[in-house]
Amino acid sequence: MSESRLSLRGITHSFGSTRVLDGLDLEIAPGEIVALMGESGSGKTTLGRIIAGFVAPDGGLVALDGETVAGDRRFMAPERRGVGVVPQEGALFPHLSVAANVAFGLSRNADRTRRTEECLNLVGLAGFGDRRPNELSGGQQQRVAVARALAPAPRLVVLDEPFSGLDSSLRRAVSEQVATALQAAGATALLITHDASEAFRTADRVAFLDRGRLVQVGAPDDLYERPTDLQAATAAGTTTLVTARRDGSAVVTPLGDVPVEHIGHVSDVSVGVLVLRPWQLQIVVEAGSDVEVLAARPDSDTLRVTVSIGGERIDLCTSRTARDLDCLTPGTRIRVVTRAAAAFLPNPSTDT
Amino acid sequence: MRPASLAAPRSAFVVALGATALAVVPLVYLALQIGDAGWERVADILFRADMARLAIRSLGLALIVGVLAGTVGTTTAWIVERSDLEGDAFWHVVVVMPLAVPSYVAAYAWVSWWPATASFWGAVAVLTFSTIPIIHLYVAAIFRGLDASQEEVARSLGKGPWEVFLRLTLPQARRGIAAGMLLASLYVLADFGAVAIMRVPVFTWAILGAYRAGFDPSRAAVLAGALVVLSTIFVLGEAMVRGRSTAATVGTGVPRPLTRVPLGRWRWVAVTGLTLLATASVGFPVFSYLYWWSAGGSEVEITEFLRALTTTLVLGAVVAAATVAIALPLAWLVARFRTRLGIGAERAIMLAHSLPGIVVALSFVYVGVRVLQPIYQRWPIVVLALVALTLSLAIGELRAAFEQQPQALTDVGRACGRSRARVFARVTLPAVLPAIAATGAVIALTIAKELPAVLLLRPAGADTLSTRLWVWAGVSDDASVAPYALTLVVFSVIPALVAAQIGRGRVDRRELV
Repeated sequence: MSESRLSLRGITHSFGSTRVLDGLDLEIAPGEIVALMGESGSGKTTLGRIIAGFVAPDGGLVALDGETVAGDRRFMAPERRGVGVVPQEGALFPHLSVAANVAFGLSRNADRTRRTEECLNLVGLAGFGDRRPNELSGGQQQRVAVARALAPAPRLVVLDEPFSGLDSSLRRAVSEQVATALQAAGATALLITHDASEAFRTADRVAFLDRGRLVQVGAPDDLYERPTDLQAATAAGTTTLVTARRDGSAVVTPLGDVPVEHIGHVSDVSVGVLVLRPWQLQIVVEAGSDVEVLAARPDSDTLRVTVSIGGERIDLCTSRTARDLDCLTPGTRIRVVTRAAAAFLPNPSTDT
Repeated sequence: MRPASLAAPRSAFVVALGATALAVVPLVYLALQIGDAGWERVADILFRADMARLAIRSLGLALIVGVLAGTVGTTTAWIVERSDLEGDAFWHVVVVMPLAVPSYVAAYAWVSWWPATASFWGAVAVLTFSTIPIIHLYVAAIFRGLDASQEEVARSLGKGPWEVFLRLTLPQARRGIAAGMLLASLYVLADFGAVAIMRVPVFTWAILGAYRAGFDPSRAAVLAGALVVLSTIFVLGEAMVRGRSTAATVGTGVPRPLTRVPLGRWRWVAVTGLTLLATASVGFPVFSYLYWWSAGGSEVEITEFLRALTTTLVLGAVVAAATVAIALPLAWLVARFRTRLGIGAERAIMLAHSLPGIVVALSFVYVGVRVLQPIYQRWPIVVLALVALTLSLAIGELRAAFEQQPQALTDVGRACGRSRARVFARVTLPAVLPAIAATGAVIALTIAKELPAVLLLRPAGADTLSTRLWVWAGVSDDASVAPYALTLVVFSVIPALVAAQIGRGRVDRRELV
């Protein structure tokens, strides 16, 4: 418990009658980078603001290094928490130079010049100190915002969708630079994002927020290979979802049976959904099969194939090989081979 | 070159040129009048000790009021927008309400109780009360426009609320505050009624003196010319200061309400201050006139009052209709086509608008004497002068209304096979009708309190509410001034509420999460 840098216990929060956070728990260890994923409106930003101290939670405890900063009738003002913040638009102070922005949170007796340069260097912007924020590109502004948050060596940095305002071409490069800077600084960070590849690239662990609760927290690979929640499974990567039922040691699907020991995560329901990643599906052309291709179209590195099995339509998503598309004309009969699956999960329609 | 079916229609240009002429031609005649006087005579008027005193007094009044109103107005804007004082919407309206009390109405209220207040410092006080709302609206808009996440970042970097205010909010609002002060100073330079009631010899009051004292046209024109130069300096200064401030925003910011600073024990100081301010600037004048009125002894006959009221209403309606009719094509031209001619016309009209009312009035006197003799000192020339004074107000409002309408709407209309004229009539116009009605109403009500133009140009024996008030104030008949003063305050409440509403409209659209 005292090992945790950040500890959240039973956090609840509502806006009016809408409950956005509903008994949420999370621990972040020192030096760890955790990505917080979730759909828009899932409460990600609110959670970040509760940690930074801009919002007082309705219930639950927020502790930093074992010290309660919110809850239990205590509330520590944001300026005393030592939680750095990188907002969506960077929010650089437009009337200050880049160096003055970075030095803003440094105390007077500290070696401000040296520390400022150090932090600008960390984000790859050494020598930009005299510029004005409006002379920088969007990506540079975001990196300055990160340097500014890191400068006072905060206990924790909250980055709220810091790259969502950037062009997609720029995003990857900037997020990699920022991840490197965070790691080099040994910072503890919570990265709020809805972009799975960004989360997987940057974070040690990924937490998935759905309807105010964390439905899965684990290593990036866990979310991909062994999702425990359908939302999390879909958000973590491309999926094929097939309605299925459990029968003893196998899960029975219209595409064939998959042995339970070959499935990453199996919930104990009897009827549910089988989650397959593209590489776990293989399509073989086979005349006389009862699976008929209705349509096939490429989707960047994967191939989406709509098939009909005994009148039931299923959308498949499989890894793509060069000649697939030519063979899969409508009406083609195929066999679908599934040797493994990521998860067998409760059906969302019976879940709610 | 755009094809004719896409370019702005010729007829709109004709109206634009007419509107520009209306705004600019009087100034040409003012210049001609000065030219006619000859250089020696102009120098004789300009380079005299009384001229220097006049200039120093005018500038001094403008700058002192600018600084005082700037300080108070910034404070009220901060209390309303950035402190946690309850009822901020209520206090916002309270602070803006002095706009409903014309400066001469406020001035006469003080003089009616204490004749000794008719002095330079009396004028400072009254004009400060009148201009605080201008600064308040200006600065409150800046405070609201700031990016909330900037302040949150500053808090997360270990700065308390007061330090954030001093190091972030104030530096970013600084230029806006300075621009607001210059705007208030400009208002003071242009003010005629308060300084006339308070008998402070500044330019506007001296111009009337020169006009009245056997009408020395050269002296009046030279004084007006000097005032134009002074005003222009303030206009350019305001544009320069404000222009540089807008370049500093980075990113679009996050639409989130700004955090508010807890007042704690200062709460009662803020409430007391705002209450005193409202009492002195609105409560006291209204109370005075109610008192004088109820005290009796008014020599105002009901027929006199009704005649002035009717004249005011008809004049307001005519001017409003004429102004909107002229402003509409020009606003559309500027909003839709951004042609050089349209923009040039708009700028010329805006510049003319910054001229003091008495200068525009005097210019129309010269126009009347020289070329429009048949309508001189008849209603048409009063209407022309008032249209020239209110044109820029109408263009600003209507242009904003046109700009709010997406271009796609008219594009779709034309793609459906309708002619441009038809699309304008069926799609564009209905959308801006509310704006037209609102603009017309504000103009009509603003006209009601206009004093110098009507005073100089009205037909002999005709009066509006404001000129009747002026006549009774001239003989210090408090009870007779009262009904006119109270009616003008009632008329001005609506434009004041509109101004307050426009100032806060932006907040409503912001989301809360």
